[in-house]
Amino acid sequence: MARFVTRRLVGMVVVLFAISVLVFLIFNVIPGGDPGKRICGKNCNNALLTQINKDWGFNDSLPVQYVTMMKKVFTGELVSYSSQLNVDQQIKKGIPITFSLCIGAAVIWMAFAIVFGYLSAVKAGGFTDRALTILALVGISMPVFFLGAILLLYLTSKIQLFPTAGYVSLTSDPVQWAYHLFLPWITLAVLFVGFYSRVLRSNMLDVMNEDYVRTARAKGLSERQVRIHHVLRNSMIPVITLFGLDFGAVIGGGAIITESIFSLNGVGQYAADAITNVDLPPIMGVTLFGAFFIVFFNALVDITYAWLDPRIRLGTEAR
Amino acid sequence: MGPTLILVLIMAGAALTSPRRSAQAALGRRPARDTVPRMPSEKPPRAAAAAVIGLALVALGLTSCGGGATAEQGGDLRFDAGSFPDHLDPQLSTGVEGWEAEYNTYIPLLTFQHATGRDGSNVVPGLAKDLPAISADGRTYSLQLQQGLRYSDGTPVKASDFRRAVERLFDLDSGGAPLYAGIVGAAQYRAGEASSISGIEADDATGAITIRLTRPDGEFEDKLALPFTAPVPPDTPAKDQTADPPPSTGPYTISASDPPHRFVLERNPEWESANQGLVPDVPTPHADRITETVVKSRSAQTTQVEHNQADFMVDPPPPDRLLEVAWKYTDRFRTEVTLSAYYFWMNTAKPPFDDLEVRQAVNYAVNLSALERVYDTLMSPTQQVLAPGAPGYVKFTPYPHDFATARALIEEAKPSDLAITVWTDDRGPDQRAGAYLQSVLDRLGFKAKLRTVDRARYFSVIGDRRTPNLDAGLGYRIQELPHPNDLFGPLLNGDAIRRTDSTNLARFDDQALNEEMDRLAQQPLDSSTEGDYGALDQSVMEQAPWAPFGNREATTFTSDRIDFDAVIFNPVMHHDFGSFALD
Repeated sequence: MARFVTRRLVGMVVVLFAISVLVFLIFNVIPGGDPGKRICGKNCNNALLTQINKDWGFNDSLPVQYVTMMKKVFTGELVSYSSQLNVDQQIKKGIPITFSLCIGAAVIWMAFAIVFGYLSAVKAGGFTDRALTILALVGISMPVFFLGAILLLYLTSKIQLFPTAGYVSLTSDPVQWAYHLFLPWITLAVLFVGFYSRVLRSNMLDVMNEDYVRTARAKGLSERQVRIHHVLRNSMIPVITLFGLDFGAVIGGGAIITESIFSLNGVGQYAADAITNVDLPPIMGVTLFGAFFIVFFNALVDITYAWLDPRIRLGTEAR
Repeated sequence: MGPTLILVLIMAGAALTSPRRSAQAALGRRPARDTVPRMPSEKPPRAAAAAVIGLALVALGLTSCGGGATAEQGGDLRFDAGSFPDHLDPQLSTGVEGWEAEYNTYIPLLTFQHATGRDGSNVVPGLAKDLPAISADGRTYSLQLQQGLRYSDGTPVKASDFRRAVERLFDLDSGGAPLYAGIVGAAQYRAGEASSISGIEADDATGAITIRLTRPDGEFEDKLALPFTAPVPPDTPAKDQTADPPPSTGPYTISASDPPHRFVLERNPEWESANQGLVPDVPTPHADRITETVVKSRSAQTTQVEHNQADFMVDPPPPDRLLEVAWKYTDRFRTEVTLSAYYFWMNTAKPPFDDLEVRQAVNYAVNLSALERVYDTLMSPTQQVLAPGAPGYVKFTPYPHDFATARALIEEAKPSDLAITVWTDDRGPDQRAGAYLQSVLDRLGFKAKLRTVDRARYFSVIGDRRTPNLDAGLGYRIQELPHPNDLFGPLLNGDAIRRTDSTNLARFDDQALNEEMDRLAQQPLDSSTEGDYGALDQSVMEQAPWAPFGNREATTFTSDRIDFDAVIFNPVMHHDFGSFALD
């Protein structure tokens, strides 16, 4: 097991390294990426441009620039080219907002997905199943930017029930925190509710035909006990796996659009601003941040699987 | 690589669907302000929807929020902005968002008059006693710092702080530094060959400041009025102070800065006791405190101002809300013409635009109203170089829209080269403006092809002589200085034609006009030179190197708590935060 964990962690480092190289190269070859000229501004002249290139090290070779940048990433000295603000500090400032958004939305999407999936499966073919199927498909089909805009228009402008924008920290006022995040949570969760409820329904219908479910019924367990303890529980395994990956992806960048729509200054919004400004240091910082979460949750799922299933951790030895 | 791809796709999607970009897709015509009827009031909320949401709220135990502040004179104001200023450091900020915050905080030796329109371009004394005495050769500027001035932390303001401010510009590689490269000794200081700028003499005992230039510069008074040279305490570090802005000399001080989320302006405790009487041209502001918060969504900003949850939005309402705002809030919404030039350049150095008749034909063919709509109505039509509010501006319309005349001129000119490449950048309205020029040229009988370039590198591409087929395209410039030479010098003088990074996109090189531009560029502005600039404007447009079509408009949209008529929009510094008063 220790060997497997070590192998996965090494793999994680390699993936992060590859991502950092890729991002660095992309932003050094795309047109308009010359950071010296961007810093220099509209009054730029040769003297200033030369000075900037010298002071910021833009004359160094690409490998040297890459090493310098990565050093700054790990020492927390990375600063934005455009605003000259410290990237680590900006990401740290955005983390509570992004986590509040993603964790809240995740709770909502899992809770509703389980309820809808369960009801859909146990009432398969009936009116409830059909209604929930339609609802799920609507949720899956609804683009986040559209749903967010509609909610904002009707619930903040036409009917002034929710605040239009902003964030209140959990520690300063929990009620206002939830109040300000309610619409973003719904917006982010709707897609996943639809998707997860469909997956859960399908899994439950498969599991219902398994022998051990028949056995459970034969033992005399009530239908409710069978559904919850045997069917639902076993059907949740792939859903939990999916959740691990999706949650990592949402924290690592999947909430960018929701943050932009609701003016939440989280990590996603910071990334969107950096992309608009073609500002490499924040893009590098945020990409590594996002990649870390995605890779981390990926590794976590693998490790959990390996712990559950010896065939995975032992590889060919198991055979 | 799967996760990377996902992330890159998500990021790309977010960039493409950002509210700012998507909002620019809509078009609309703004009705004249004084003829706009009021829209009927909004329908009451639907009871059912309200009940459902209300139940949800009760279940969550939430209470409603917002508003509630008691309106009182001199109170707290809340402003919304789509982005945080580029910097809150006077030596670094190059954008108007930063200058709006600095207009009443970091006062230079000279400043722009706190006024709307043409008066706002006037340079008046700031921390200096008077306007500078300029030597006969135009190379030496003598000023006298007011005695007794204090920074907001109580530190006395010294004459040498001005020199330190200019040196700090070079220490920080500021985008403003090139404006002051003409000071004697600046080049040596930048190169590290001198410990201070020899061309600035400052006597702390008397407050006398003398600045020597390598050659006369007619714009130098304007440059001294920009926040770049605003004195800061001598111990201010040579690094960006946005997160901890230095003490100020103006009526406000930046009491809190949390980039990139919000900043707060509060009254400078030293203003009333020390500085107010010494800086008479900077009025004492009305509000005690102004908090500017970043709200990314312009639609959310609009809603907040509509509902008086915010008192002012720095950005214009998004195109899809602009009509609604213009119609419903005539008493608290208006547009403001900025000092800017939007134009189609035509390469005068090669066919077919080396022919004056062809260039004039394009001017006649371009319909300014169509381009106003292309820019979501936030474009004030014009056919001249200078913008309203600029010194020397005299309105004239040399080529009123007339397609028949345009066609007749083309028939007369009989251009041999009909294949034209039209250049533009990829920003929504700019791209549409390029497409519009392409359609106009096609209608005139040319075979136009549109080339769209990423906005970040657009001017480097079209400013590079090696780029093939530089025939015509979109050009624009937002003036940093109100001085007319800020447009003529870089955009129309033959000296600005370079191998790379050429700013004279039309490659316009008229010897007589070059000499006139050079002569005027060295003269300080007065009524005579202003008249000469007015004449120069007409002379240039007779040669039609451009087809100018507009000056970009900003907007003022306030809550109904604000005395709307008192709000000042300065053509250089934009909104004067000190002029915002509770009604």
